Amino acid sequence: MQDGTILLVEDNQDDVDLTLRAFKKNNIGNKVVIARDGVEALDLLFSASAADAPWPVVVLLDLKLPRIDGLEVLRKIRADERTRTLPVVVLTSSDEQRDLIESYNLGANSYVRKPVDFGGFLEAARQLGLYWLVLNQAPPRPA
Amino acid sequence: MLVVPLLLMVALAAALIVQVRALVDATEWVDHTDEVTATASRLERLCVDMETGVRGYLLMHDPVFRAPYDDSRRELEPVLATLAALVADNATQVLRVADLRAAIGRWMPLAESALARREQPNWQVSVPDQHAARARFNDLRRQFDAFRAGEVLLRDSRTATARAAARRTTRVTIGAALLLGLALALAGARQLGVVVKQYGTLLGAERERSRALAAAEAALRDLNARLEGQVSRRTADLTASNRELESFCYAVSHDLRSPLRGIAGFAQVLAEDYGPTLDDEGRRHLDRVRTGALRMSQLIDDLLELSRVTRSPLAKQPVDLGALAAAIIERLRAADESRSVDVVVARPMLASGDARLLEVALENLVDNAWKYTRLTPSARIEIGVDAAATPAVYHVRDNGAGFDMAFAGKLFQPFQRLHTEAEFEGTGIGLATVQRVIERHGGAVWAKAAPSRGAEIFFTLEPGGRT
Repeated sequence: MQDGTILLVEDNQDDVDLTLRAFKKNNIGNKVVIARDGVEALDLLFSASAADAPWPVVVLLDLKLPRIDGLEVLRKIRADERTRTLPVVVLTSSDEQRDLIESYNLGANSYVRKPVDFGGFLEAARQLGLYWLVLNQAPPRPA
Repeated sequence: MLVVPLLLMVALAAALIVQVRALVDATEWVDHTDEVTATASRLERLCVDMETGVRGYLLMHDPVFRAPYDDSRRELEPVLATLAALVADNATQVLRVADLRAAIGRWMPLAESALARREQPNWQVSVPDQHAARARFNDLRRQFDAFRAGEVLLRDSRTATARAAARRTTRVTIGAALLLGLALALAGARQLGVVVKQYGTLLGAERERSRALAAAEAALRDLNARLEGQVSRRTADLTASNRELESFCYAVSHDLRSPLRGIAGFAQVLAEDYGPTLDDEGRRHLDRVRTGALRMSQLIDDLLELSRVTRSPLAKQPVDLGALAAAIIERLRAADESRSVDVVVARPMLASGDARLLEVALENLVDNAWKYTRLTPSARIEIGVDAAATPAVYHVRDNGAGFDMAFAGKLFQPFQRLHTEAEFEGTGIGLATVQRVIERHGGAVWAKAAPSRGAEIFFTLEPGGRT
């Protein structure tokens, strides 16, 4: 992954396409790497090849995922020295209280609900890009 | 029970009284005999005194010696009468008294004539006369002896009678005492038997009661155990169904919205990318697809909120409904600055309840008031409380579209709407959510409205208000 890469963990192709379109509409040109489930996401982050590969600036994490769900991925990210400080934004359809609370308990940096309305979705993508890719100073990559 | 001994006692007492009376009578008769004998002796002494007087006077011709005769003669008749009266009950003695009287009568003339002759100057004692008088007096004495003998006989028989009566009385007394004792003993034994039997019956009844009580207790324990089992089963069922509901809601929250986002999103993508190649009709259709998806998304959100209001635990605390309402109004004003609504909120408006749930309820009510006054020229919303009522009655009042009270029954049912989507948008879940919140607080919610004249929603947060 090159610097400024966004890791999008999303199993729904519709949501992947809509997210990519929203980024494009908002002129966010960063490279987006897509993981289709939790296992794939963790592999991408922890695999040997990842050690010298570019580091994501932010992880956009869906909660409902096949094999290993989003909360478990978050738990593993926070449990590992290499990924402990990695910015993780939970991006989900759910507005269940327990998801919200559990996400923050596990160390999510942000919790964003995906609006059904594409207008709202565009706005969310724009603000996410502006904040995490421009305003926010990412922590240094661990050694 | 004691009637027999009592009757017996009375009977025995009566018998005893009769016996004692007989004894007393018999004794009196003995005394009577003594009196008769004494009277007879007195009468005899009078006769002897008379004879002594006659003899003395004849000898001495001195009135001093004649005095006993005259004195006794005066007493004679009354004493004789007394004796006659005393023996009036006995025929034999009556005859004997008559004999006595006759014997006296025979002697008396001789004595009188002898005394009379003594007064003559040439008095000489007449031996024949003296013999005759003596014979008659001796006859008189025999009469007395006979009378006394008769009386002695009588006394003996009367004494025997008295003794017999005394013996009989003694026997009757002893017999009575024995009989009474026996009767009392029998009655006592019988009484004791009755008491023992009664005690036995009572004891049996008591034992029966104890057994019944024990059985009832056992049944109660059994019932309790069954109830507890039922409760824990129901609780388990309820917990299971709650868990099911929760996982259902979780799935809905996650999975049902994603495809809608796809539909809405790609409808918009289509409109953006291919809009120019479509005609107006095509673009309108695309818009409908998008609107439908958004409406369905809203429905899901509202349903999830309704279910959340039902599931979440109730945490009661002091809440200022006035502050909550004011904040809601602020949000509404910020979201639609074109609206000019006259709003009156009672501040503070204190209540006790779950702040988060009450905010959800109040938000729905104020949203409705805001929405339904959209077409009203000078819109007005009042949020207040009748604190004087018990429990306090809160209200949200508006002068908006209102509704026909004929449909008030549908008002709080989910998905029931009194306006078309074209008039006023909505899912019909808001008031159901409000009702759920109020019910969870134990309160009641009701409405008053008229078409085009506004609506008032009232609610309480404690039991005991309007039912």
